[in-house]
Amino acid sequence: MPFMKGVAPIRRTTKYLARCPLVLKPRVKVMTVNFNDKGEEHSEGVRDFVFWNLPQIQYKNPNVQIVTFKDMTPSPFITCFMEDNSKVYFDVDSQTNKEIMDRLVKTVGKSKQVLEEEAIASEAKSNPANFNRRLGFERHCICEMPGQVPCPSVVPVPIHWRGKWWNQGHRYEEEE
Amino acid sequence: ENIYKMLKLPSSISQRSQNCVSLIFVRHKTWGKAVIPHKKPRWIPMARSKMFVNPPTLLIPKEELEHEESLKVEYERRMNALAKYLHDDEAKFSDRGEAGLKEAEIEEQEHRRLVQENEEENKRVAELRKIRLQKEFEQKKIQIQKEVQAQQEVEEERIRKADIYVREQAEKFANRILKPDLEGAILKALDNPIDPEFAIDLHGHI
Repeated sequence: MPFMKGVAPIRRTTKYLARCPLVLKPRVKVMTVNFNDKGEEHSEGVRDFVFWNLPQIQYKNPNVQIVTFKDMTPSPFITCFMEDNSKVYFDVDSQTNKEIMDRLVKTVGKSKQVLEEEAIASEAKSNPANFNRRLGFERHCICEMPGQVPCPSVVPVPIHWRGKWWNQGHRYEEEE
Repeated sequence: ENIYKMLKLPSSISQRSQNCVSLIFVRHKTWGKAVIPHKKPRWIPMARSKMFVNPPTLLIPKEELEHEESLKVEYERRMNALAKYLHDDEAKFSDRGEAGLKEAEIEEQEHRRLVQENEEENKRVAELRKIRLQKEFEQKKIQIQKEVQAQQEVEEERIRKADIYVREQAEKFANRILKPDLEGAILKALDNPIDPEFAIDLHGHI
């Protein structure tokens, strides 16, 4: 990995950062992580979580404030502060970083279904090839593009192009 | 006097002296701070020049008025339709509409349920931590006892060695040479020299 300096530089790649399963709900405003830095085994999972997963979470949730506190409490925990001034505590003593992540996704993260719907909605919004001015796209129909067939409401299409003519069997009639 | 009769003012006012300033209440209305005087007393009839004047006639052609009316009706119809459409759209899709409020309520209930589950998980982890701390406490206790015992053994060994040393020294001290016996001891040592430089063969002979 050229030009990747520092400890575990893979954490700074966009591919790695984008593979975060935790997208916090809009109600979560601040997240704090209390853990102990060295030695204690029961805090090892949280240390791994802070090292490997916290950058991913911040990447996916840029508007959420994430703060870490080291060596302040005997056992590690995570606190999520909501917009209605309530708090949710996660006691993460002796849990691995995967377990912590799964727990956060289950309690304060958006579900997979919601994320998929949002992804589809954002794709539809950003695709310039879409039509329908009522939904906010640039063009209402292909007929307004130069070089295309004009709008049939203005210039009727030749009758033999219409599906109605074709399906009603007029193509079998002899030309008068 | 004519003025007083016309305005039907009390006669006492006319009897007052001319030097005295009398207060006459005149009908008026106010518009904020401005005072708008009432133009004509209400008992005075309408002017003859205005009484039999015909009301103004409308010179705009009837077709134009009808056209304007139809345009207005069409405009209002469309605007009302648009307003209703937007109102329905807001009720269905906005966060403050009925559907939005219902969704918010459902989400809130779901959040409470998840928080409750999280609390139970926290309790479970707390129990595990309690067990772990108890184990650690027991292990530490045993460790401390072992260390204390080892230290005690070391101390006992030290005392034992010290005791042996002291006894040896005490035994040696018993054979010490006193001052009156010093000369005799020196003469005895000189008479019996000890030569450490010697060798012995296999049979033990020097």
